[in-house]
Amino acid sequence: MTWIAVALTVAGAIPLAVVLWVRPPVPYWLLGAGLSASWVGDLMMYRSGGAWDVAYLWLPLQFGLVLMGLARTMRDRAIILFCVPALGIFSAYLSGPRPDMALTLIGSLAVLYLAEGRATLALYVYFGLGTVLYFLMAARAGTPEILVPWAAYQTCRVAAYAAFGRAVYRAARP
Amino acid sequence: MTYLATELRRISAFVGAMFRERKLESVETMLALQEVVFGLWLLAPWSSFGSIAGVYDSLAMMPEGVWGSVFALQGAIHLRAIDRRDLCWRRRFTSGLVLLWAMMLMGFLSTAPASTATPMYFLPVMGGLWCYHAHTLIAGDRRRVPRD
Repeated sequence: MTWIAVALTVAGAIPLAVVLWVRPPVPYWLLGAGLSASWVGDLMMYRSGGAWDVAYLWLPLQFGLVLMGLARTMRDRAIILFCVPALGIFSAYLSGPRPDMALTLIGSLAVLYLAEGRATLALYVYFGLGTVLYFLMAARAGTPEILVPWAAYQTCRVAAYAAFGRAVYRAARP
Repeated sequence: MTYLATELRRISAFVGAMFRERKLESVETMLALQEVVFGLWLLAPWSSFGSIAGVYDSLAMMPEGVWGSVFALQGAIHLRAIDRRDLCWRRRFTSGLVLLWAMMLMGFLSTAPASTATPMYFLPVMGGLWCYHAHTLIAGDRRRVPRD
């Protein structure tokens, strides 16, 4: 079980590794870095002994990077740079130290609104289906029943990474 | 059995006709309106999540008012996009609609799957997915039509 958890933590680095290897256009770098923020998040959670409140530190980073990768103008990126940390603080105030809800829900909605291009499938899997499964997982936090939604969420994450890798390859070598 | 097959064929013909006649707008309007009403209901001063013990525990991780605001806002902006015939944003809001209703459905599936709320929340999820699929088809049609 520990090995599966370690493998899944390391899997979080896949999007960044693919981007570094393939060198696609700039927005994909931001998307790759954003998707890989969960790697940092998993490490932080491991260090803190499984505390959910570390998510309030890395989730704004993830949503900020992904949304900036999807934004078209510098003005939009500036708005995102201001709004996402503010939403993170608001969410921590609402739900902390329990699992985050507001930032994940509103951030995922924003990603679904803005998703376009080749990475759409990966983003829909990660922030659409993944968010629903995260919600199920968070609802069972601290109970033994967390295992099934956790496994489903991790499968969804890995599927999104695979879809992102494919999108990056196709974007770099059309 | 034959009756069932005929009925199924009729229903599928009806759905096909809806695609052809572009009745998507009315279905989408109803779904967006439902979101606004649902959001306003959650924003009302009574406690909807507290009305059925245990069932809404998972949803109560976030205050009812925030759920209500998100629903009402998404529904209202979706209605505005429908009014302005903005196909691009309508498709985007349809994906948000599916996410929101799927989360509500999961709230029930995780605590009381046998509840009548399960099929009731399942309907807007399916409706949203149907609208998204229709939007994808329309976008494909628009891409195939040569521009002047």
